[in-house]
Amino acid sequence: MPTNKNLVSRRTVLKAALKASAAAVAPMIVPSSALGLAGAVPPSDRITVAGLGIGGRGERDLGSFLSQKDVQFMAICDVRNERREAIKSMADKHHGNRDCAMYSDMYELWDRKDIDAVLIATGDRWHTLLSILTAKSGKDVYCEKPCSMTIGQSRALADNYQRLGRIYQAGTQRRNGSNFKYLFDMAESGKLGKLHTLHANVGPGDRWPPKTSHDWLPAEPLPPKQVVDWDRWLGPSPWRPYNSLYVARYWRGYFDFHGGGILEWGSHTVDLCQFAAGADETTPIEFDPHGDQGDTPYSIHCKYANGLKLVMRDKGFDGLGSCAVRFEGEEGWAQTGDRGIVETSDSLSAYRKEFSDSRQATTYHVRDFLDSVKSRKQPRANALAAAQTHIGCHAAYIAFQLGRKLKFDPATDTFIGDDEANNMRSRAMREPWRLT
Amino acid sequence: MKITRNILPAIAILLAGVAPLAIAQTPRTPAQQRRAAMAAKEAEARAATPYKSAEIMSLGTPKLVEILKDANATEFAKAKACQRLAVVGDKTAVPALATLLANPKLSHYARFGLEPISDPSANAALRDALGDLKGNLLIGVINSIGRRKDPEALDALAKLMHGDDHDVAEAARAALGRVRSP
Repeated sequence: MPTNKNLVSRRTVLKAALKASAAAVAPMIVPSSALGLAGAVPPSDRITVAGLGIGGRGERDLGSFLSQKDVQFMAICDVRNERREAIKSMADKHHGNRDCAMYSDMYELWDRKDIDAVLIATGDRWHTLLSILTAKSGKDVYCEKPCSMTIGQSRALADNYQRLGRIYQAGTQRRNGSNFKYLFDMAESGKLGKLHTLHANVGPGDRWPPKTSHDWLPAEPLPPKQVVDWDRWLGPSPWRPYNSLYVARYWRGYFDFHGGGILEWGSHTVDLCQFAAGADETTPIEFDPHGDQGDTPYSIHCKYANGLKLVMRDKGFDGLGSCAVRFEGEEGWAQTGDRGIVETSDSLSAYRKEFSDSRQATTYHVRDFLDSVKSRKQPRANALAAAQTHIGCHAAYIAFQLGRKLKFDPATDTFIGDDEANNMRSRAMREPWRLT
Repeated sequence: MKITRNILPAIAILLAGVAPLAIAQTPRTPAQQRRAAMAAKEAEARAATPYKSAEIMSLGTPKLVEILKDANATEFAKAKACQRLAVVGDKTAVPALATLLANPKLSHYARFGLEPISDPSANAALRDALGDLKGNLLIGVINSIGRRKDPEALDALAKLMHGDDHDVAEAARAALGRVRSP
């Protein structure tokens, strides 16, 4: 009778074999969702998405992404520990797993080959650079607005996306909002007659002053890098001492980080006017600031090469909600805003309407992006369209800062006969960052 | 009493008109209260900051150059002077801006001022700094040379492209691409 405990009986071997075979078979029992059953989308049709810098607005975008059945949110990258944890929690809860990876360094995110698209919702200072670098890593991009800090960045965005062939959707969701699309249709179908003036609601000066500040906030002790990586938060913007208020969303209103009221809302509303004008590949040629250079009321009167006028103004859209536009043609006018109400001149009263889904614009816009990721056709707010809108807004902002009328050549992105204005078309990036 | 009775409806009307406004403006939820508190803190910080820029941002080139040359001027004043020079600066500002290229805190601000100045002396100032700098400051200057598309920097960039510092070499390669592109 063998007594060596290392010897294994035949029965033990058989038991072990049975366990092993059961374990080998187990992965074959896959959840129905993985097979695309029960209404789920099979993995091969899913779009894997990651997030870069997701704050309050980005969280709403993320909600729209997660509402789409073919989206799998894979990872979050943020320089703020609290935001990494919050977004992971949101994604894991939605997917019913613990798979959302967290990074503080975007290069680790870009290294992942299993991510198709990235939602970028950092502060404005990072938007262009991250959009270009993310595209270079082989991923498509949905980027919050404003999409650039300067005319130069806007052009670099368009050029790089044309060269790289990636999909880009600016977070100018109203392009896909039902009430705004209704207005586009009215313009395109000729109901308004020949368009002569477009009005864009730029940031109300009492909330979003048109001029930004060059001040710094008082210095505070720098937090540990793992809590907030201040150097990475600043990114390409000029160095300044840390203050927790910037990180807690109060970076707006400072020249180094923000484009003031014109960019804040104009990136939406000038964008809508550009689309209605069929001007996605150009920009106005004249920018004439009005007002006493105070916060409100203010306006910039612009003109396209074909004579069409564009008025950016912060007041006079009462009752329409935020980010309103008004299109005027020879047959009458129509206007709408975020409340979803479409108002018209009496001549067009038959077209007055109220939309109940005006808050769904972001979800429609995200869907447009996801469809483009699959079809490889450009979405409604693609890089070139976004660039031209932003160039128009930056030119208006420069005219307002200088307090004088400017003439602009859209073919070369240069102001005609104004050296100071031309100096303001770009800004040096903090080392080591650069636009390529 | 008669007067009081007459006033009461007026008070009621006033309250009816004012109350909804007051309710709308008063933060009710904890999140709204947090935001209101933060906004108040920010307004307070803006008002109290020692870093006020309005005066500097209205100066012309001669005064701005004086700030850059002033040994007692603060880092903030010099930073803002550079940013103002990015709009109004000319060749007379180049030497003062160039002296800041080796300053770790202000090198970027100096490039911020130099990059838009169309005079060729700005190219020369950036090229001259190539031999004095290392690491990120050198990368910054290389990037600015690339932005300005300085054809006289081709040889220096080519040399840096074959150097030991990988990041510097990458920056030089990118700058060469920009200088050579139409």
